[in-house]
Amino acid sequence: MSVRFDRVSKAFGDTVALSDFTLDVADGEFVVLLGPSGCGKTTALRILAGLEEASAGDVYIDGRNVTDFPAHRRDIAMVFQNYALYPHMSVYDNIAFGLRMRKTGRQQVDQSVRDAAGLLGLSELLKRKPGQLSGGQRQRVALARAIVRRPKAFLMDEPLSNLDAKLRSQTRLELIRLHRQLQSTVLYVTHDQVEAMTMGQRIAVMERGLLQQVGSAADVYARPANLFVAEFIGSPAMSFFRGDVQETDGAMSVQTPAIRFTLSLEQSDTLRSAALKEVVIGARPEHIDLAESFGEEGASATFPAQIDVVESLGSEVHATLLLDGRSVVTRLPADDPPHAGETRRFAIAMAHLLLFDPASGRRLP
Amino acid sequence: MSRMKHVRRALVRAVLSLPSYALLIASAAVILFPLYVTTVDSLQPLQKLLSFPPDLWPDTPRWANYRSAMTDIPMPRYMLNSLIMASVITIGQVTTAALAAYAFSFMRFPLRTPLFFVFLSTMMVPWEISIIPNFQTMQRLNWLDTYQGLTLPFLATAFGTFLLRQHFMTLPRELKDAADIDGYGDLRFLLFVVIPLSRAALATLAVFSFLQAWNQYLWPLLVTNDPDMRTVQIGIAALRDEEVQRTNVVLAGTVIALLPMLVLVIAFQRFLVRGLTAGAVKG
Amino acid sequence: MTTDARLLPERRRGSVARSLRQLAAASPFVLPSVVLFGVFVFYPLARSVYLGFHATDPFGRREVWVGIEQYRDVLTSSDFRYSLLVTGQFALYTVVPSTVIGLYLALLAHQRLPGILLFRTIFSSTVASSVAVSSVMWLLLLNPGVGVLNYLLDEGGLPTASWLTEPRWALPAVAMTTVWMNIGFATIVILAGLQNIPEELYEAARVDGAGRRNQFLHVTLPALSPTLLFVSVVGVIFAFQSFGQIHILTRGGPLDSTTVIVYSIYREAFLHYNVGLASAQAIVLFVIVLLLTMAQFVAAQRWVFYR
Repeated sequence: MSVRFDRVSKAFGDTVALSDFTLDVADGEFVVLLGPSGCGKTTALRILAGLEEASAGDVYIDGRNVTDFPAHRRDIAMVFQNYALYPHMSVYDNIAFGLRMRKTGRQQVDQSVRDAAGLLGLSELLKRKPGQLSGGQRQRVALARAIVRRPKAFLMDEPLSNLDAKLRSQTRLELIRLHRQLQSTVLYVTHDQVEAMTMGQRIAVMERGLLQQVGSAADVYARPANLFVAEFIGSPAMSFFRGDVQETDGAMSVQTPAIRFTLSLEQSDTLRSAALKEVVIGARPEHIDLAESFGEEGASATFPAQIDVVESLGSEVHATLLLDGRSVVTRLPADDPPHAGETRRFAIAMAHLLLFDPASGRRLP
Repeated sequence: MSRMKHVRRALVRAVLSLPSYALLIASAAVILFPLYVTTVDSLQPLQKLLSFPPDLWPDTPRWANYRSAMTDIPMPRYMLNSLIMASVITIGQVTTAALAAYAFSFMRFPLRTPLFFVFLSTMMVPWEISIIPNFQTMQRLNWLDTYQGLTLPFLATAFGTFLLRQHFMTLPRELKDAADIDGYGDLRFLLFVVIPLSRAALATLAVFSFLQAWNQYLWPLLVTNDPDMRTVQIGIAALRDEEVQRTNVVLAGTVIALLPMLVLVIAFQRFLVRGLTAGAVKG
Repeated sequence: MTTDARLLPERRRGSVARSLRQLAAASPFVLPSVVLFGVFVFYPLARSVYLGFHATDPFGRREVWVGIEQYRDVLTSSDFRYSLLVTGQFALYTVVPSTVIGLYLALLAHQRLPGILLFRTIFSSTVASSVAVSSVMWLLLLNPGVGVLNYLLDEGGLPTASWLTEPRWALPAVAMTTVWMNIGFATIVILAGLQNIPEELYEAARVDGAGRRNQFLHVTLPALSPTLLFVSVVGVIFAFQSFGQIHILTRGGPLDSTTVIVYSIYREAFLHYNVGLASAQAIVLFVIVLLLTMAQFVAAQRWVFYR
């Protein structure tokens, strides 16, 4: 069942939480709303759920305009960050509650509850109360309560944030499998980009109430729409270099305080058509390496830098370089890593460079 | 299109809240009604009070009634007695409770837990059970019709000790460790570190104690016979027997007796709520 | 969650001297309270039991040991039983309406409307009113001739009564005064309980399809059950300890119809000087209140849900 936000805005007094938000979610799609706190992702979700009223705009579920419908008439299910289980009811009753509110027959209720419980491994726990369950178990009850009604869409508000790291990764996999099994439409809110990248078929990156970019994980990673997305996605984060655009004999280059970037033909064309005096270049840590590892073609942006901190992650090493008064992070292979304090020559792979307009923040082209 | 719809929705919501306001106002009116009638009658000349149907609005308020209440009836004396009694009890309760709560939270000593339960158990013994022996005690000590008689039995409070202990337990243990290293003794630590950090809890207890002490009835009734020692509560209750012909002045006295507590409760609502719910809301 | 070391039970560590030192250090802090409790709570309790074993002669002089007899007399005397009945009725007439009205007012005051703070203040204001002030106020309202209550009933076409002088109506009238006094307390406590219910629970219920009524039944009431228990326990204890209103409004009459147990104790001890009998009554009252409180907690096991 499709979901559609049509220019939805929400203001709380003077604060604008959501501005002109438009998004289409196709039937069965798993879309993640990703962004830092305050970006409006939870607001958008709650407006879809019917728990908040939009200040402007409309919301459609399965083609119907549900903007004026109360929460229980929208046929959606929600998994809350703190699970919101009814503390005085057993697991069985918690799951059954929604069905009973809709006056479903007792046998039907029983069947549905047991099915949902089975799907989530809760069959042994049906008689317990939430207070007697662990965090992970409570989470599954919340999920069971959501799926038992076979709603048109599932809304999830940071459901994994209260779980410890190991449980989080396990549950992530379970959610992916569940989605595949149920083939349901899911709208998932999180601030954790790992969750977003691994689970979402499409990711909607948001910031300060505005939608920044919608695309697959690969899209937002390799082709970020603007500086915010480029910086937000990817860990360790992308490094940015701001410099003046220069043209020498038809070849364009960018001169930043510490590095001189000579651009390829394609990049030069892009830059020329943008007609900018200044540009920001972005390079991901994996595209910055020791100069010697760059063989023949080399890279046309070499620079010396002192290594500040070396973090070993076992399979690779993150080296933080001091360059021109700021830090630049690079990912290097684990064998024979350099040491902190050394000054070595580094280079950047030109092919993967991204160019941004410093004024608007948008990526070129 | 959307903008108009949203404005209209806001209007609908405002209209829908009207019944709520109607209920709120009606309920408030019922609650305030006794106070309203009393205030009105306190401002009436006597004939109006005895008339039927009762007059519900003072056309010419007789503020003189209030002056009479303060001069003809010993209201000032009653107020003074109440003030002294309530103040002494409040200070006493806050002091003994703070001292005991400190011991129960920051100090280690044998039998600490059993002793705490003994404290709590005193809350199980309602005051009314102890009145006869306590009265006899006061009689024997010749402390009837004295301030000691009025205040002494109430200077310790298990509820207050419990309240403050719960609060003290939320203060970090490291504070005490740092004080130990610095050479602070227990008393100095209590006075200069714990107390300043517990202002809210202390205020809660103080408001609570003062209110209860000011409003007491049974004990002051038993322990005072001399009209000069009567507290405000006993005073106005006695007045209703003695001054039957001057009901309006008696009512003025009642309003005067009520006013300080009303102001206290409204001004310190927050603290009062916290105190009353100390045992109620289990999380 | 780490355990606060201060909550661990004391273990026997170190020497006896150390324990004594600790006791010496702690004594000045607990002694004031301990002494006061000893003199004004525990000693009276013991002495009341002792006095209960002695009958006072009609001239109020010597006390004669009668042992358990007096207690038996108290429990079997029709006067005392009647008094117990009156007190029980009084408790019922005050606790149930106070709790229900308190719940109603708290729900009203819980809404997020502009100016709601004013109403919250008004609803809780009766805590300020002492027993004496409330009774004097209601004395006037209940006056059969010039009281406003009868006037309003008359205007509304409802029957009027001589509230405080008719045996049928005296107790309900005193109860009404008491309910008015209790409303402030009940509202404050229940409102705090309401404010403690996480909004998420209501949202989950809304998404599940629960309308206002179902939200109240399945979210509000269960979450409020500990609070409601507290209000009713305190209410019963308060009812069984009531004195002031009866003393001012009816002096126990008419025909003993408002003689609650505490008033009976007062009358026996301070008007009839029958200290022995009064003490026995006081002890019996204490035991009854204790049993009632325990009974309420036991009954609560079934319908109170703690989180």
